[in-house]
Amino acid sequence: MPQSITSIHNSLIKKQLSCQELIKSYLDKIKKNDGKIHAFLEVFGDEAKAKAKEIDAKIAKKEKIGLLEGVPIALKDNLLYKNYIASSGSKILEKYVAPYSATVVKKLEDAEAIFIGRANMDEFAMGSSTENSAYGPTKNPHDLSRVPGGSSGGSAAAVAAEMCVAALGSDTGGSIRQPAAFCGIVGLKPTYGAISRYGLIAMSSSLDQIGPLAKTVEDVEIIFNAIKGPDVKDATSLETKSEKATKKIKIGIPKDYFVSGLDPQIKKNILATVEKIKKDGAEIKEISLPHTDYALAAYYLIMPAEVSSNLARFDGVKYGLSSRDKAKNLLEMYNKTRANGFGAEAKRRIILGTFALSSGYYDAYYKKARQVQEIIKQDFVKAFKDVDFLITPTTPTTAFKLGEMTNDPLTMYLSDIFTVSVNLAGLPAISIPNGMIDKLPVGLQIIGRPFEEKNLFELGKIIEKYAK
Amino acid sequence: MSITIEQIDHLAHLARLELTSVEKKKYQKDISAILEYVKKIQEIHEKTPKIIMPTGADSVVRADIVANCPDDEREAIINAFPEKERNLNKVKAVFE
Repeated sequence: MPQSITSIHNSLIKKQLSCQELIKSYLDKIKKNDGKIHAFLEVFGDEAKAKAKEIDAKIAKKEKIGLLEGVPIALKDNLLYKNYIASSGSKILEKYVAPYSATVVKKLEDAEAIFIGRANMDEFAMGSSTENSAYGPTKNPHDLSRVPGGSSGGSAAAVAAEMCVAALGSDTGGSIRQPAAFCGIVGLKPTYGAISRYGLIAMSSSLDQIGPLAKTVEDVEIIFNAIKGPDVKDATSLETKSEKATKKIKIGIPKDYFVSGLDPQIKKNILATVEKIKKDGAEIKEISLPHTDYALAAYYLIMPAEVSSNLARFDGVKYGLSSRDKAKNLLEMYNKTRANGFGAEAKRRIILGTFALSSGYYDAYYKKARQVQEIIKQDFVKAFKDVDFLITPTTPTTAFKLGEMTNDPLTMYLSDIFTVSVNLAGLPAISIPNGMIDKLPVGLQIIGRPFEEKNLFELGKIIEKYAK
Repeated sequence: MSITIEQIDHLAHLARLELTSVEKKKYQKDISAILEYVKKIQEIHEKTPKIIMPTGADSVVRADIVANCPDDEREAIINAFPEKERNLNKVKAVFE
C-alpha cells in the first residue's frame, strides 16, 4: 500500500489502487489498532467510504483529480468541521456540533481530501501528553506504556500508527512538534499568521497556530501549501512573502538549548546530525539566545492569561454543557457549568491566568511577561542576522510513561522547554525524526525566519535522509 | 510567592468557577509552585525593546459591510442553545 501523498496520487491515477481500497485499508487499521492506541474520538467511516466511491467514479470517468484527492486525513478535535462534533477534548463541548467549517478544513475539503476522523487531544490543547483529554489518554504507538506527547497526541499517534496519511494539529507552545518528536514523525508549527485560525477553538490566540503532521517532510509541505494563506475571517493571517532559497547555508546551534536537563543521549544524537550537515557543506556556528531560560516562565503567564479570557465564553449560555437545572440564579449557573465542564488542567490555568491579570499583580506578572517576550523575540532577530537556521532538540527527553508526570504540573510544563520560545517569537519550526534511543524516537527541531517555511522543508528533507 | 486559600476563593469567583475544598487546596499548592518558578522573569531589568511583530504585520481593517450568515449555519447556532423559546435563547434572569 503506497503511503506518501504523491505515491497514493500516482497509484490512484494509474488505477493500481482504487480510492475505496485505500480508505478501507486505513479503516481496517483503525479497527485493528485504535482500541489499544485511542488516537480517535470518532471515526468518519461511512462518510469516508462514500467519498472514496465518488472519487473512484471520477477516476473511472477519466476526470482529473487533485494531489490531495482521496488522501485520508485526521482532524484535531479543536478544529470545526461543519455538522460534526468538535469537543476540544472537553466535557463542556461533548455534544457541540460545529455550525461551520474552519478555513483549513474548508480548504482541504475543496482539495477533496477525505477526513477519516476526529483526533484526541489534551482538553482545550492544554497539556503535553493527551492525559488531560476528558475522553482518556492516547498511547504512543512505539510503546503503549508511554504517552504520545501533546496536545496534538491523537493526531501524531494516528499518523505514526498509519491510521491516516496526515493530520492537522495546533501548536501553542509545542503541541505539534513535541508529539511529532515522541511519535517519530514530522510536525510543522508554521509562522504565526501563515495559516488562518478561523474555526480553531482558541486557547491562546496570540500564540496558537494550526499545522500539519505527516510521515515525511514532503507530505507536510503539500498540506501546508494547501492550507496556508490570508483569510478575511482571520485578521492575523497574512500573505506568505516570497521565499528565496538559501545557497551556502549557515546554521546556528544555540548553546542555551544544550544544557543540563537535556538527555545526554539526545544531545549526542542531535550533534551527530549537525556534524553530517557540516560535512555536506553547511557552515555551523555556535550562537546564544541568552534569554532562553526565561521563555517557559513568560509562556506560563501569557498563555494562561489568554486561556482565562478565551475560556470565559464557555458559560452555559450559548452552547455546550449548561448546568442550569439546579442553579438558583445566573451566577450559580455559570459557576456550576464551568465546575462540571472543565477538567483539572483547564481549571488550574484559568485560575493562574486570572491571577496574572488581576489587580495588583498585572504589572509584575502579565505585563512583565510580555516585556520578556519582546526581549526573547529580539534574541532571535539578532541570531537570524547571522545564521539562516537554528537547530535544537525538539524535546529534552524521549516519550515518558503514562502517569509519570500527572501529579506534578510544573514538571510536565518543562517538557515544552525547547519549543515555547518559537511560539513567543512567532517563528516557524519543524520537528524531524532523527533516529531512535532505546527504541523511542528522537526529534530534531529546525527554526527558521518568519515565513521561510520553504527553506525549513529544504533542510528538513536533507536531514530526513540521514536518519533513513 | 505563595498564594492563600482566600486568594484562590477570590480568583475562582472572578473566573466564575465553583471549586471544592479539595480542589482549592490542590490549586493553592500547584499555583504557588508555578508562581515560584515563573517569578524568575522579575530578574530581568533590561530595557524592553520597542514591541515589533516578527512578521512585520500591521493593523488590519476591513470594510464595514454586513455579511449574511447562511440559513443553515444560523439554524445550527440556534439549535445549539441549551434552552430556547422559538428562535430566542432562554437564560436565567439577570436581575432578580
